[in-house]
Amino acid sequence: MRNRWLVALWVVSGVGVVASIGGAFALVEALPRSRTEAGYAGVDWAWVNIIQVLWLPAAVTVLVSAVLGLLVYYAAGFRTRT
Amino acid sequence: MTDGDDAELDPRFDPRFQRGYTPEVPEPGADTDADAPTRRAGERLDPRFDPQFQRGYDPDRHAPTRADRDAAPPVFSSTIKGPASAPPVAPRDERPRAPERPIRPLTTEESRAATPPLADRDRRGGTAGGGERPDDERPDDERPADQREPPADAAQTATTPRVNPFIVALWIVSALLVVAGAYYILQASENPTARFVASVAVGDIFARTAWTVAPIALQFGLTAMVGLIVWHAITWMRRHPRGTR
Repeated sequence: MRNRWLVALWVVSGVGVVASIGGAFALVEALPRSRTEAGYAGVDWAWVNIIQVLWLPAAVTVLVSAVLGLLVYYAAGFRTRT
Repeated sequence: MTDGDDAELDPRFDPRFQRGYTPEVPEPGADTDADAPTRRAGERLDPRFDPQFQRGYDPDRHAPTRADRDAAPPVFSSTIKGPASAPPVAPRDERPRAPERPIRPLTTEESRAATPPLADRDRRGGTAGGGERPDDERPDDERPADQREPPADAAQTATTPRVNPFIVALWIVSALLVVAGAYYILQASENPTARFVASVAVGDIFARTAWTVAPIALQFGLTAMVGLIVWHAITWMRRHPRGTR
C-alpha cells in the first residue's frame, strides 16, 4: 500500500521546482534584453510585479517547505540501531 | 480361641485377625455411609460427588466423564442415564455466540468514565443511611430504563468526531491565507498607483500595509499546507507499520 500523502508531498516538491524555474524564465522574458529607455518602454510592469511578488516567492516557498517536509517525514520513519 | 472354626470370635479384638473369621457380604439393600466402599456396580451413586471417582462407576450406565461435562453443564442430581429430564445442552462449539467486537485498549478518559470516583462508589454501595435515594444517586440498574445513562463507550464513540477538527481548521486557515494573499497581490498589480502613492491618506497606508502583509500571508499559507500534507503522511505511516506497507 502506498502512502498517498507522501506521493502528494513529492508532487508538491516537483511543482515547486518547476514553478521556480518557470518563474525565473518568465521574469527574464518579461524584462528587456537591453537596459535602454526604449527597451523598458514596452515592459508589462503588472506582469513583472506578479512574477516578483506572487509567483516566485510562492514557488520558492512551496519548494523549500516540501523539501523540508520530506526530510521530516523520512526522519520520523527512520530507525536508528540501538 | 483354640476351639477350631466353630469357636466364637472374641469381641474384645478385631475379628479380622482371629481364627475362624469369615468376611460378611453386605445385603443388597444396605446403603449406608459406613459400607459405602463396598457398594457394587449398579447401585445408586452419591449425587453430591463426581461419579467418575466412586466405586461402582460404569461409564456406560452413569454420568458422562469430565471431558463430556466440559461440553455441558454438570448434572449430578441424577447420575443414572435414563430418559432426559432436562433439555439437551448443545456442545460448546455449537452454542450461539455474541457477535465479536475487536478489543481495543481503553483510553484514559474511557477508563475514568467506566470507573466511578471513590466517593461515588461509596455512595452507591452504602446502604447504611437507608431511605429512598434521589434518582441521580441511584445506580443505573435501579433506575427506570429511560433515565439510565448510556454506556461510556457508546457516549465516547458518539462524541468523538471522525476527523480532527483542528486539522480541518488548519486547512481552512491556510487556504484562506493563500487565497487572500494571492488575490490582493493580483489586485494591486493591476493598480500600481495604490502601492506607491504617498502615505498621507489613510486608505493608502492600508494599501501599503496590505501589500507588505500579502506575500507573507501567502507564504505562510503555502507552508502550512505543505506541513499539513507532511502531518497526514506521518499519520498514515504510523497507522501502517512497516510490515503492512
